[in-house]
Amino acid sequence: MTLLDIQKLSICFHSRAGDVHAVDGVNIWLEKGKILGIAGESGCGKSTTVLAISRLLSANSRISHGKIIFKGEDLLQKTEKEMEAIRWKHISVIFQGSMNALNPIKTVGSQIVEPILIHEPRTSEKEAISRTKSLLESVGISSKRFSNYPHEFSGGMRQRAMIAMSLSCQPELVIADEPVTALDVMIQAQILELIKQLSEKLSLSMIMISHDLSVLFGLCDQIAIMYAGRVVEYGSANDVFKNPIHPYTARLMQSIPNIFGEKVLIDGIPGYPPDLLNPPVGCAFFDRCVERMSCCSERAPELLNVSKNHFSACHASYK
Amino acid sequence: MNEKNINEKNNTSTSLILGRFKNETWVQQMWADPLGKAGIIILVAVILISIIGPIVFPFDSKAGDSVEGVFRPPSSVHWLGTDDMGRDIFRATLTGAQVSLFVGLTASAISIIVGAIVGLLSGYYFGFGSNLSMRVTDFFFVLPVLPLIIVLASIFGQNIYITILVIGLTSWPSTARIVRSQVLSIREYKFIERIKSLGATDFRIIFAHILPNVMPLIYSNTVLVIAGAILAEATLAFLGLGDPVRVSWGTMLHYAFVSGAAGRQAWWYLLPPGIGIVLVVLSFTLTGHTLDKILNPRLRDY
Repeated sequence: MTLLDIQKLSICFHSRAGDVHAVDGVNIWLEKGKILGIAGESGCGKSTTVLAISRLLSANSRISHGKIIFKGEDLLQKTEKEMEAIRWKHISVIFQGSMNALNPIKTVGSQIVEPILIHEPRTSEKEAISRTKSLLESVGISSKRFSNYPHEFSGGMRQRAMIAMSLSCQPELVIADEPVTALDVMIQAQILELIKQLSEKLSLSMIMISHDLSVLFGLCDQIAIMYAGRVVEYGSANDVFKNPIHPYTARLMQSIPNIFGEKVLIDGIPGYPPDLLNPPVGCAFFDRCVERMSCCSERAPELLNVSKNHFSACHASYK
Repeated sequence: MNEKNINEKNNTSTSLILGRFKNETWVQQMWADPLGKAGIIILVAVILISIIGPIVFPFDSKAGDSVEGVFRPPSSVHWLGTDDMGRDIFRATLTGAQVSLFVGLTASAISIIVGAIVGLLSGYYFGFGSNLSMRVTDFFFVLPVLPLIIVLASIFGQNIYITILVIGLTSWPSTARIVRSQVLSIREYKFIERIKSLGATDFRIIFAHILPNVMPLIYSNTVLVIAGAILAEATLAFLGLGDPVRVSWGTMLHYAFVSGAAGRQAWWYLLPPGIGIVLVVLSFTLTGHTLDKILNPRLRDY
């Protein structure tokens, strides 16, 4: 069952230099109970796309067209009031930079209790507190730390607390926006292990953003690779990693060192992503692509099915 | 070591480091500061006197019955002498303390509430309303407040509640400005975005999350606004725009002035209300500055 279906979503930001087309016709979908990973370089529109799902984009943004179908309803047609009821109850977000995502002058526990009390007004405060304590235990934080302030937590613990908070209302969809950036590698591993365990235990549907491909490979069922505001490849984690079709994905894979393989010089991708103020008419990867053809600069490739459940947006892959 | 043990260990070590700050409330920190201590002592003394004083030494506002009783220097019967109508100045000063403090506190309550709400709303929201409210604030800023208060007081009459309203409604702009500038920076924090994603209403974000973050500013500002409000009341009353029915320190000074107490060298009539005003304003200013020093980490020296 498709839980979330983003269709041809385009978002632009107003700036003094003109409109920045941050997201351009993105198609992504997510089955219930699966984890979708979105990867891509900085500024490719990963965060913008997922923040649009819960309509949390900044005021200078505009969703120019597209649909976000969540459980059969288009979230873009909802009023702000209706969105308030959907946020956290149905779609929760684990933010990046957990240290800033907690109010410094309120106890961690009370901040986890808050969404429960907002969305389930019939829950008594006592019940919400005991639920929060068991949530904290389930992410590996002693319930004695309930009334500690955020500054008394370490970075990893704050991120755990954020995960506990994201699960407080038993949402159908959890969006994790780079949940492990700014944490050291050991803590990253712990947090990812925790997310993996929780997602199996609670059969969570999740969207996870990262620019660390190895993180996504270990965790996700589906992977979408984004480039310059477009999805260039979408498929099961195994397919995308083992048989990347799009030249950009292929080059990305080559840029991950393999600790078991021979020593090779890491081959980066020369050039820069295109200017999103004036996105190219054709394929956005044209300038940097080694397999480019004459039609690539004229027509933007669409995300098409190239093999079973494996989609790519590249003219060269359609043959 | 399992996670629980690690957590407990963390807990004890953090509380050791934070112990000095954790166990010291701001009242204790204030007491440690000599100026703050002086401020608290004077303040508590004045408040106690203004509450208990008029009960123990009630003031009879009716004029004395003989000409001999007028402008008497301090004696065993009238500890601070008598005024131009033969009334006891010691008792008048005690009652006046109550009125001055009452006007000061209520007027600054109005001022702080209006200022905080304008500051919070115009800081949180962008757009026309926010800009308009700041231009209104600017308008009140550049307005010469004393002439305005005089005009308003003479239009609306000499009533203590009018005085309170007039002072309260002309002294909020500085609070609004200070609160707004802080809200502008807090609203950009990540945690506000997170709270928005919880599905919280704007009302909740502003009053449950932003307000506690600007509270220290409001506290220290309140104390300074009270001092200003008491001075404003004294000024109005001295100019003869106070409530003629009630005795405040300002009205005492006014009647001392118009009855020519200075010319008759009746120092006992001029000094008590004057010293009272100075002491109260001084105590609020001292506590306000110390509070500011404690609550604003940038003014703290380690």
